[in-house]
Amino acid sequence: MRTAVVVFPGSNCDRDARDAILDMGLGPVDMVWHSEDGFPEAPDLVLLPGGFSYGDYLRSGALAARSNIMRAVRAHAMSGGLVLGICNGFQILTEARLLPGALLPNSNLRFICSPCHIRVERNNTPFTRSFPERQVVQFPIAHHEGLFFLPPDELDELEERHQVVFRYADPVTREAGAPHAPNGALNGIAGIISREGNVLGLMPHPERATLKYLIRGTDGRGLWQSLGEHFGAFNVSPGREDVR
Amino acid sequence: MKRFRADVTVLPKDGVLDTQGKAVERTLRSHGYEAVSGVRVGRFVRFVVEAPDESSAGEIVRAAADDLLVNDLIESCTFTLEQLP
Repeated sequence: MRTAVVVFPGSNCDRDARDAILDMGLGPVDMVWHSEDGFPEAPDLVLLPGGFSYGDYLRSGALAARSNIMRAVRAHAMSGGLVLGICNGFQILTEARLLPGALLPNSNLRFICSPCHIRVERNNTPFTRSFPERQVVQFPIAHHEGLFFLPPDELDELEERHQVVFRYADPVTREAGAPHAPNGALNGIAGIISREGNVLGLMPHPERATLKYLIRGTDGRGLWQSLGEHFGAFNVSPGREDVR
Repeated sequence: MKRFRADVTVLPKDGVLDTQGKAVERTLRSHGYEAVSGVRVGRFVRFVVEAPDESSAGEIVRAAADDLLVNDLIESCTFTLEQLP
């Protein structure tokens, strides 16, 4: 499984994402600067990491969504390639219109950095296939603009098409929805997938719940495990894990 | 070519949650400005456009707004143009 992690000025979860993927034995990982015209080698997965690209100027993700590399990201997505946007990466995907919706300032107007429970609403995607159905997992959140918004009609359509993959949840009752969203996200939406099922964006950080020596668990491994299974990466002997 | 100053005002659309506007309104009212309501907090962008006339300057501003300055899912904008000497 070859991953391209796009690095924008202000990205700060790019290396965390790379380390998580390598820790899972899913290299190689290419780090690709935003001004590049394309990827050094055709990736299986393009990952847009978290951070504060362009200092969140204008709107979170707005400037990154219009950077040079995004033409190649769009082409990859349009040809059915997998794209994963985490936190700021999710904001970039909505600004690039590769995913519907917008991420507004949290309802409490505060930056929230906290462990966070979400329920896996769909496990029939390449990103979630190894999770048991409706499992509640802990991926931390760290954002100021995480309130998922869509106008009511479009929100209904999103739900009818089962594009919600992750929803904020209570770890005890396993109930999910708006009352459990720390940021005011409509319908408690934490992550969505494109209609075609190949572009996923989520606010919580799976890469911060992957390495075993970090605190707060390793639920994020399920997401990388899913991708590895999707690409058959565990069926072959591990190859060279070179990092550019 | 003429030069125009474009003043673009971007505001959250009606129906879009404007938590900043609500917080500002609450604070204003708690400071005695009870006559104030309907606060919306947006963004103001000013730039200079070179164009042969005002209508083509307006087209450039509209295109820039659609391309970047405004996310039309959540925001709308108005603008004014003033010819510079």
